[in-house]
Amino acid sequence: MKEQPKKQQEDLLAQIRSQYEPELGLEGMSAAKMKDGWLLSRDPESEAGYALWEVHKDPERVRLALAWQEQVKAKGCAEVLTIRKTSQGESFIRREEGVFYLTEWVAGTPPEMDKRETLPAVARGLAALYKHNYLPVPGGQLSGQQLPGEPAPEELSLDEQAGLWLKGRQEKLTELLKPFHFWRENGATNDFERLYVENFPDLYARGQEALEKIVLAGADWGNMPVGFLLANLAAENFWQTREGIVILRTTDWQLGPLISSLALLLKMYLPLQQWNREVARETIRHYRACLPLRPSEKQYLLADLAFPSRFWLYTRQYCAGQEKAPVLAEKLKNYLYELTWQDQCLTDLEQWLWEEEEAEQEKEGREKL
Amino acid sequence: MMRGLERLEAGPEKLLCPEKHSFPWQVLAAEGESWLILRWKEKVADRPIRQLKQVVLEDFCGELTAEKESAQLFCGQIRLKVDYEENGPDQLTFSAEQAWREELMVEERSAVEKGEENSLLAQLWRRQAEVTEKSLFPSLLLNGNELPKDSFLPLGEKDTEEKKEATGAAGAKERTKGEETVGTEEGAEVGKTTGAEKETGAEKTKGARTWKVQAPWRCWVQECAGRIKPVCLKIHGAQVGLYTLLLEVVIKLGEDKEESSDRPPKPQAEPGAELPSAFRLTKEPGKLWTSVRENKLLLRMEDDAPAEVLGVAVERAFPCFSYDTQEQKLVWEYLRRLSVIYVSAREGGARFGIASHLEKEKALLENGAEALLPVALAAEREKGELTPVYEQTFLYSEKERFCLAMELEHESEERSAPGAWGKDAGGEELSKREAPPRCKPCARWLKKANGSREKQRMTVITIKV
Repeated sequence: MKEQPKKQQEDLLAQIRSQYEPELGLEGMSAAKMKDGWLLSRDPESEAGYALWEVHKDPERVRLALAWQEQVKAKGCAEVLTIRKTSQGESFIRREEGVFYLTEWVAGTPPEMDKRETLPAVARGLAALYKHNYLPVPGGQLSGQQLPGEPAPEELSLDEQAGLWLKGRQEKLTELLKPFHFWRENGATNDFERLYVENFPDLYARGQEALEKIVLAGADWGNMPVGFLLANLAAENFWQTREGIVILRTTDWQLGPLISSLALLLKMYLPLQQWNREVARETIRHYRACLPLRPSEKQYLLADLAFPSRFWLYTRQYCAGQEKAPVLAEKLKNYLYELTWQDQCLTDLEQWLWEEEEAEQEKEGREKL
Repeated sequence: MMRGLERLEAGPEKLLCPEKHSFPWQVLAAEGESWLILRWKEKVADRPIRQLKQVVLEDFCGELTAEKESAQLFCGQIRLKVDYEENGPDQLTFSAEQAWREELMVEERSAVEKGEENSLLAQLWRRQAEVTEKSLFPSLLLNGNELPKDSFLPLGEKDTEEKKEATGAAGAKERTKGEETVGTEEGAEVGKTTGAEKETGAEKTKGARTWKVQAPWRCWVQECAGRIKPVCLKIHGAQVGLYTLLLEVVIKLGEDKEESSDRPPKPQAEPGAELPSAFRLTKEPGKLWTSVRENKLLLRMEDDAPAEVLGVAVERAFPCFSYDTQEQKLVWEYLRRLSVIYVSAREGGARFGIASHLEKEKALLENGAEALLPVALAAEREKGELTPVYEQTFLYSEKERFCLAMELEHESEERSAPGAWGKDAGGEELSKREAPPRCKPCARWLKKANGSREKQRMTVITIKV
């Protein structure tokens, strides 16, 4: 958020407040600054009130995101905040300073992602958001979204865009070949390069195998629900309430297979649990309780989890000179250690997803009968 | 007759470029001494290595096996052992604090700036490790004096010396310890590295492993002056990855200093007698020219920083003679390669390296203003010295002695060894003999030395006119 002088901020707030219905009582509320906006409340002690969000993105993207949020809210999803429209019936206000929109606020606390029970709760919240999600985007076309690959997304259907997302991964993997051949030919000069050359064959094979599985799993995109994905899975975008997890903002989004969001969530936060298989199972269970997984999605999930994405990231940071070699060598070593734990967890998950889950389903079926 | 020499090309700073480390050996040959770097790298572990415990030189021997003119071939064997420990499955702890942020960065970058990423990876920005940069992984660098005493012995003397009790040296203790664990090593093929072997003894630490390397080696020493003795100078063992170990050994084949010191000192030579015997071609004054040139070069090592310089070698190639009519001097042009063998200050990878500087040199030689091609020419380098000036920069000083003969005394004399510059014979002699074997273009012969082991560094070069 751009730093503005206090006086300017107050004027801006006053102008924005004036665009909403007086019944909301915004005029009489005090404003507390948050990272991405303001918290408006009558009593600073109480958390009841509204949140005024400030976004610096393409307004068209914001419009689509808010339309999506309103749509899922209307279908009964309690995991997103209710959007309040302006007196003119607009979902957001467009100004020079950015795009602003108002939502109701709920009492709660930031979620503690290192706690065992948080991750399953967040997964459930995501599933609830995606439950009503895989519908065609209004108008069937998007603008301002640049997914990996060419041509521009406006010319492509949703299914094709999801395919481009896969292509992007393949390109990532292919990019890694060049540094490997270079360092192998010219000799590695530091720990990062040495670790890279030593572990590249295994990691490349791992990535290639993952992509092959993803292709097999998603060969028929009709079996793979695709749609809006919440791009910002950082803890700061979630809010722990008494009822469960609430997703604060949907304005960071992209398109792709819905299951990739669960995979990303696990890759981000399961390391905090040392890739604990029980936590992984519990997280998938919570997600599945709200949004059942198809066989192709299970396949996809396992493959996506195994894809060595951070290996690509470190290589890119190294080649771009964004990070020093000793730091990246330490990170790569750390990642390689983590992969040994991840492997154990994935082996367990694979067995569980394909065998035990089927048994459970059979059991459930029998009980129903 | 001594005349001064002019150095025509002397740049302010010469770049020494490190040569690529080659496996399993790399040789640097100089006059009278050679350095042999033996190097092995192997992915030995199944699990990430936790600790590098010790490197033991179990066996080292070498002997003279062939002699050709003034060159000697040495062959030998070396056996090394590295003790290390692997991590247990539960010992691989990792930090997960940044995982969420980095995974998010990957996803964010999937959606944007793709074109930029491609170009960044295509550029492959290459970053050299800084000298002060500490490696993530452990390494062990052993000097000669830390190695077992008997590792300095030639093959013939080894059997008798092994019976003697090793005293004092830490290396001897290591060796004894090593022998306890050898067991499975017997019968290992020469030249093969045996894989990591599990130590099963109850006293062994959990995860303890051993990597053994046994290999033959061979190396030529050119222009041998005295008795050559192979010495294992240094050993370096390092972890160069999670599962990979590197072993390096530097063997020096040089004059046996102990033997040299035992020999009685040479009597003071007469002024004329200090010339190499190969140059005693004519007794006529004015027909033999000798000159000393002093070189001082500022050398800067590129892409590496030496912690210790082990030796310097100079090689000359592609000589070309012409005559400068204005100066009335013989012009000798050649390619000169100055090589330095050193121990790198950078930890983490291979530490024994060779860096070289190659340039074209030109020397103007006094030859009594005769516009004639000399019948013999040789150059000898007196011991060069490398003095550190500042980081990665050295001052190299040496004396080069050039000897030039304008006439031969005994034209019918012997043919010489291949590979050296120079040699033989005027047209008169050729016509008397049977047709000699066809030579390669620009082939040269070296006049046979009086005795290969005798100190004789000068080379006779005669040019076929």
